Amino acid sequence: MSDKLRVDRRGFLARGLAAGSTVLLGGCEDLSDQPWVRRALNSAETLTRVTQQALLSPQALAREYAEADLSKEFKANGSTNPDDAGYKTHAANGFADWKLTVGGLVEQKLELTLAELRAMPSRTQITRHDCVEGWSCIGKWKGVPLGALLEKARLKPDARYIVFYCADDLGETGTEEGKYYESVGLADAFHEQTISPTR
Amino acid sequence: MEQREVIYRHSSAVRLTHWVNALVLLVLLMSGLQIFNAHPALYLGAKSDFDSPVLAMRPMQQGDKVYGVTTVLGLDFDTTGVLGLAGDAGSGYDVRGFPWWATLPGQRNLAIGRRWHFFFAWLFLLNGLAYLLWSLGSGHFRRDLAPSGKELKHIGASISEHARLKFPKGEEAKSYNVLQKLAYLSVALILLPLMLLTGLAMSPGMDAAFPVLLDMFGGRQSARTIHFISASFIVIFVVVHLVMVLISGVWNNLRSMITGRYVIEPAGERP
Repeated sequence: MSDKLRVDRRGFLARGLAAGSTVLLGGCEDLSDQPWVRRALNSAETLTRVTQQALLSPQALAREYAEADLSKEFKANGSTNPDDAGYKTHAANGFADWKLTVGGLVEQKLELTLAELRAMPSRTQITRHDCVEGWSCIGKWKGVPLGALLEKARLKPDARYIVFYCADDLGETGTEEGKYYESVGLADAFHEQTISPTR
Repeated sequence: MEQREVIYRHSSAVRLTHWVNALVLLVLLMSGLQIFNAHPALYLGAKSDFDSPVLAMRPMQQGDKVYGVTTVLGLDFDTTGVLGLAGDAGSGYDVRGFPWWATLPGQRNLAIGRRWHFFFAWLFLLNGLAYLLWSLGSGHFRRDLAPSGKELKHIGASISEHARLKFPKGEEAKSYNVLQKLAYLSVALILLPLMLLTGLAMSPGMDAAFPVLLDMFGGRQSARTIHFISASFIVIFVVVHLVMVLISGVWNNLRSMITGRYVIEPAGERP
């Protein structure tokens, strides 16, 4: 026990010294790559999430704007025209055969065409898009609330996140696994303003 | 002749929160510049008007030469090698806002930069709250930092003494002078809280819960710009602070912020 303690203390000192010297040398890359630094930094993410859950009501709506506030040009990051054979085929015939697949931990797998999606009750909103890079654009979207799609598909009790897959493989291998994806938790997925835009 | 006198100038609470703040602000600045580099431009209002940024750093091609150009309120400055374009012709150019030595991490990595920033933002908040509560409770604000009416009236004389690098001695040196008081108060009560509020105003979740954050600063992009300007003022404060520490008796100043003890030079003597 005491041996372990001593090792821990020495390890701690060594880590402290390593941390100190790397900071002094400006070699913060090394520091950012240390697993224990990553763990420590991640702990603040948990603190932030817990605080936000305590502070913010899940029903609070993002501000909605007027037509006059729309951005003249809505910036697009990454590819606007993915170099993907499937995507190109769909684009060529106006996405008439394209289907949105809702699968995974659901009771009822969905495959909905664009026409079917557009026939469902929709929400129209003018909201501000805040890119993680720092810029903001205001745009107008219309679409089925994501919550309605998820209710239709009936999530299994152990479903915790909703993952969105893109047609874009970011110029990588062209495999399914390489496709860009994003995810949200269930609170955000069922938020009133979370919609699946079709316009 | 008067004797040299040693006083206990800084309480342990001030010393501790001072050094924690120094480290935390350095990390916040460098990780903040990493985040800024993801889109090195600033705007006013709710959204980004890409045609008229308040500030922008970008590379520009002219003939076969590439320049780093920083645009401030429509005026272009050549900042090749530092802002907008790092490196040199020999080892190759690197398109980025601030250079590697100013950012954390040095390489472009927005995700890790945000991790550093938010971890240290929590330390900043806790350390700042501890300082503010202690300063209110102990009377540090009232006793040491609030300038008196008389001091404010003679601020002109104090400015001219500082400009001639004449620093108070004897009895006068036992407390902060009026310029120090005003500088420390503006940082502690205006600039640092402003950093926190403008930082929170950039969070979409916080904006939904507290829309007043958006109205307070005139929109999310204005909040980001004010965050940057306020940080710049803090950098200027730190530079002036360090110069003053250096020229008004560096060892005495450093010792007083480490051990609390500060030597008062007799009023009649030259240092």
